[in-house]
Amino acid sequence: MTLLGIEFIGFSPEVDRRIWRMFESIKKGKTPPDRAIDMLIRVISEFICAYEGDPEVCEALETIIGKKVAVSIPGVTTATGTLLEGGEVEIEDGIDTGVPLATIYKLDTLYALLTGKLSDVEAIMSKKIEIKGLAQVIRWIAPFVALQNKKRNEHFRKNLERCVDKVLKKSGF
Amino acid sequence: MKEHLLLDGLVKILKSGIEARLENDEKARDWIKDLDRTVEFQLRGIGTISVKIKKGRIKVKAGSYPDADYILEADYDDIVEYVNGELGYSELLLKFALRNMNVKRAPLMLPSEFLNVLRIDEVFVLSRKKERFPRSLLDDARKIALDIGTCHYIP
Repeated sequence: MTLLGIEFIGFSPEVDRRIWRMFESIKKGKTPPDRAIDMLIRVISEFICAYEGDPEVCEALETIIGKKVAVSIPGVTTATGTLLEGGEVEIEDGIDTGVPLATIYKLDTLYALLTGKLSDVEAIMSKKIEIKGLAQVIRWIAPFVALQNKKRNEHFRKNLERCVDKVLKKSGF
Repeated sequence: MKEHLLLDGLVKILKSGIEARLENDEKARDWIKDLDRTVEFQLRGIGTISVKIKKGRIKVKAGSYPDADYILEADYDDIVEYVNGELGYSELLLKFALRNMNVKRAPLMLPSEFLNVLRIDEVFVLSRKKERFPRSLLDDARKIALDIGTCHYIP
């Protein structure tokens, strides 16, 4: 399973269950919907920052600091994420113009994408998501995909659950 | 940024995209079952990516195969937008007409080859923009196809 070319194995059953509970709570209006987008943007930035300190990718990393990506779940929420130095992400409400935009038509699709149950290609093919400005996103992410190897992937997997756990705890799950 | 990293990443992304497409789309698998064609994308300022389709299998690599049937030269953004389905038929034809996208090599555009082009297109484009084929532009499409077939035919 891949997400934007990133090899992705999903989460442990326990974390998967917590993510599902958070999405159910969003659907019922008990949890702010921006938490779902928060999680997606953090997962992508976590992948990129798994390479921090790696001299081979320092230059590539520098070029994408400050870049923005917008995500929209129509009728639910919109947000724009900016990658900051040190792997931090700034997430603001709304969509900045001229920024690559991923439109995810259902919350369930986002859950399936995040937990590795659905690949990005399947989602695009079935028109569950639409990405405008994909060329720009791939230009940013391609060098990191090129440098994927076993050791780096292992590092990514370890950090990923920790990062998702942080968002889940922040939302009370 | 090191350009080879961008090119290598693009190859990996395109490969995983096509593999996922073929895994999930029976129609796409059928389209390429008997197809034997090599397509080369020359991305201006970045490099070359080649896709070899043979006996229902697809190989993707950076660089060229000596026997490419199609050579398409374009800007990186245009190629990605085409694959992502962000470019509709009209925009695509316009890009060809204005030479923003160039077909540098193609076999003679016999009806059977036109069908092959449609098959290849079906495998590459992830999600076609909702748009009817612009019949008013059919004549332009025919002219472009003839142009490609006559000017760049490699026997």
